Amino acid sequence: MNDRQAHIRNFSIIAHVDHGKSTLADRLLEATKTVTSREMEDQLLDNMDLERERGITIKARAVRMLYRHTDGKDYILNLIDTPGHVDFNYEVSRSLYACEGAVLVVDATQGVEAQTLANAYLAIDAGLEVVPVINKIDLPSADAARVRGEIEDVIGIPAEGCPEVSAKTGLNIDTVLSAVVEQIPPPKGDENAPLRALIFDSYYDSYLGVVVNIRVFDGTVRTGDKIKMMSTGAVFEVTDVGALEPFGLSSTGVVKSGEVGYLTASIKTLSDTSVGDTVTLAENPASEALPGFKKVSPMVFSGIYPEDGAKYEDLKDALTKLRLNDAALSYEPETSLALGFGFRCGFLGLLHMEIIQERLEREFNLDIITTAPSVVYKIDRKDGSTVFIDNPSNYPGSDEIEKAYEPMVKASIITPCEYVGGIMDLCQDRRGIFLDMKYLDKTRAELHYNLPLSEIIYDFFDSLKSRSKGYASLDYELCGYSESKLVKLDFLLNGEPVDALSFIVHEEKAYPRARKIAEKLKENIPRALFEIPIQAAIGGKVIARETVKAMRKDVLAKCYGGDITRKKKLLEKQKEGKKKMRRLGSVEVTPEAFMAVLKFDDD
Amino acid sequence: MRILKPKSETNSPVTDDLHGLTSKYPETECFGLRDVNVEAGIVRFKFIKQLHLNKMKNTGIYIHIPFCRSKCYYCDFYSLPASGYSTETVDGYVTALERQILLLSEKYGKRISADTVFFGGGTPTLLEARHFEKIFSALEKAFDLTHNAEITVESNPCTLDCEKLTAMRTLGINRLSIGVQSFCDDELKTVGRLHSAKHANDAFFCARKSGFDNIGLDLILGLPGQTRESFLRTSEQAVLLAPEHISVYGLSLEEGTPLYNHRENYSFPDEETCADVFSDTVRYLRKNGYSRYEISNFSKEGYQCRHNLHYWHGDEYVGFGVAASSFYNGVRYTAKKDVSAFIRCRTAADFEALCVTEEVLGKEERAREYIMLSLRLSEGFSVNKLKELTRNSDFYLKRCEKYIENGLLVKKSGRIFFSDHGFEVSNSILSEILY
Repeated sequence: MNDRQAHIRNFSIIAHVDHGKSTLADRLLEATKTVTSREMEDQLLDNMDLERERGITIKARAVRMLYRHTDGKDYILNLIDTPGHVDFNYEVSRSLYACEGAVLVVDATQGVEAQTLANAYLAIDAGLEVVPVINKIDLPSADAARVRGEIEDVIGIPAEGCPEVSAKTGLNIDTVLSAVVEQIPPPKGDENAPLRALIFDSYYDSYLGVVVNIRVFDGTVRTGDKIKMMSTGAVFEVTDVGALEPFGLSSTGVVKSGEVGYLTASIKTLSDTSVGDTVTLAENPASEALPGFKKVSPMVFSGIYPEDGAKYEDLKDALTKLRLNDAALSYEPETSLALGFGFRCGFLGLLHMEIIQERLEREFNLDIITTAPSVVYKIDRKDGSTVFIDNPSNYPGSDEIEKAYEPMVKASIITPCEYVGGIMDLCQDRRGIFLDMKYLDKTRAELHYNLPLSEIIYDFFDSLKSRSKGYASLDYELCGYSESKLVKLDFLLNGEPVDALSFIVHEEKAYPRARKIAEKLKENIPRALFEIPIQAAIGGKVIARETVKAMRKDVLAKCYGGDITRKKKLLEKQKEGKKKMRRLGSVEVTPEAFMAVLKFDDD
Repeated sequence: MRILKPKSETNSPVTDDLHGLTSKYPETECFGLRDVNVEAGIVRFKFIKQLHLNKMKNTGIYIHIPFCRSKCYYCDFYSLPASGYSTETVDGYVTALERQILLLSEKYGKRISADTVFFGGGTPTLLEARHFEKIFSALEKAFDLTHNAEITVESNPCTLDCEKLTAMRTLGINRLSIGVQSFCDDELKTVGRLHSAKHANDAFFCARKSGFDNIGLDLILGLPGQTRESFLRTSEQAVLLAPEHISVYGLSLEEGTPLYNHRENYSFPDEETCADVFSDTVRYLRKNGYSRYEISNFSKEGYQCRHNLHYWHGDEYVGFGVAASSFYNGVRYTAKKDVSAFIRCRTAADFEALCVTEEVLGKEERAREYIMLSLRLSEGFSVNKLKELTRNSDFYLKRCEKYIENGLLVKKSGRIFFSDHGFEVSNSILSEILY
């Protein structure tokens, strides 16, 4: 290993949500004078508006810092800030591949939580050196000694003498930097070997084309080099390479082994780069690609449609661009009678789905309609074939189904002991199967359940938080399929089924949900000239019914000499309004009502 | 005191000149295939110079009196409350009205025939007898009023007494419209009406005593606090008084009115209740000899309001005063809402400058308006007449079909009209048929 590499450290910050990763990152940037205090703002690396508003990190972000250690030598520290929410685990694991170490932040008042564990194991599995840091020691309820014990007992890594800091006040921040330099190994790799650079992120810039964030493992890449994407074989000429700075890109003309940086190569075709791919040189290519990432499979599906049918192409373009730096997003075209042309999109969870929705609306200025989320069901047909269904419209008739299965997750919930009862009730109610429970210490317990994924994707997380006053944390992983009594619930307006409203539900839950949604439809569908029957049906059997009564307004409006012109304008406007109406089967509803009936999130 | 003596119809001088003018339309009108869409303002209607009234039909005259004692909370008509004007203002306004009418007579003498005069407001009964006298004397010079002209004055019960009513009747006013609104004092108070149910009853009896044999009562449905029972009491009392005409208007919340601004503080009866109450009322009034001849108007046989029928028949009408609308030669315009500017007007050009063109009707728009206005009447529109008005009649008739099928519209002896249920959703159907 050369001297240059000996002075590089690549690390991530990982933590449970809200334990203070982004604040710690802010302080590190300040302490290393990477940003001046004038430039400083909270959550500096979370540069999406959405992230700041919600106070969460969605996208991992990389930045280079220069640090003079107590040994008097200068080090390059490449920091990758990562998300904490369970939906964004894949972002964490991607970041970890580009690092040699991880700083594990644990809240001194909360201790080890579900995502602390999950993320720590991700790092350990990836072979990273984990540096625990206890944060928020300025708070009165902080108990660093207890938390240190938890880190050692629950996670199983030594925490003796680990940095105890307050990212908020800046207390002991230098000890974190020292620990990074001293405990995390420098990158290996040979700068003269054939180039192998891992794409760990990418995004689209309208001036530069695709900007690829890379970690170079072997070799060197320079501006002007001809590079090749190892999975697609596509060849490009590098137009620029450099380092990642807090406020953008800093061109250096060269990135060598062990370093983290970016490259641009006038890449306009989004499908030519994929995150996890290895970049090598067209001449003297590497013989073997880097391992890449485990492909993440979406767990939650829903239809996304443009509100204005003419915006279909815009939506397609937006999804393509989002997918570029969100590998977990999947989509394919689908059509709905009610909604027209759109996409069936796959997400990692509900938060992920929400984030994508909001990004489409904010970053791409699109008005979209999202259908109720669904999971992927497995069906054994009577003819012996097996199909996977992520869209209720494709659900086979009951006479064709031999057996139906739904995806299950193994959920791990960490909670203060007093909420265990309420949480067990919740899991019971969501058809959970109790596996085991263990006490982490005197005050906290960890519960394990097998739960149907479909039950989790509705409002499980919110219910969990409200039943534990916000203290319980959740982590889950898919654990296969189990047989289930499923039915497809259809809704008929005026006797006609509305495809966009159908969903698959467990037999036991069908009746209450049918009733709830029928009521909601009744509330939201505006009265028409005629009565509109609303029916919820399984197969041909109606299980709930409501009626929207016929409209009887504008009875007595007067109209004399001075009113005629105005009256005509009103009638014309009324007709204009009608042109904007969307159709649910044979029923015309306003766009607002249309959105309201399609949104089931407040059930 | 001079008494208005309307001339008989046979006396009206009809000159060739006027016939010639009325047989063709001014240049601004285009009766080609396409609809003319002349922007308001480009075609400035010349108030006096181009007044070519249709001699074949009688005209309606509207006179706006923009004064009230106080504004009712729901009202968005143009009028000033007592604090906004003085006796001089009223005198000055009447003088200006007189001037506006006389300027017309200078040009045309008495060649324009009119068969209705309607004083609306505001509260026209705030005028004194001498004011009415001045206006009538001017009207007599400017118009050929038919012998049986209907002369209506809108009134507020608390501005009426027997003396004033007798004077009005003597001046030739032969129809009185009383703004009763409700016979429940609480409801009246809630919307800032100054009178009580007793005032309304008294005013009605005074009017009968003073010789008014054509009286209309206006009622409002949908007032805050109104219930099915309370409205029934109101309509029972109305029927008990046995007026010739009853109007039932649905309260409409107009932006900018106090009722609109504080709407959260009021409890309005819901849409369903109002619709039910209205159906009940239609039945009740019918049973008592009042037939519904228009969406919100009911009358005894022979007592339909002829002035308002002018509007619904698409006839021409001339408005005097601020905020008054006129319609002739296919152009509708409205005078600005500015009393002091109106009082300052001296010449025809001054008055003209106060008029804003609201709409220039092309051929297709006339047809559309014919359908819209006729359908307000129980008699509906004539299919043949529509065919005369436009080549595109099939377009509209085809759109009517589905409503005829499901009984919202009725087609009978060459006419198409709303059924009672159709009236309840007339706006939705009209907007579907017309646009």
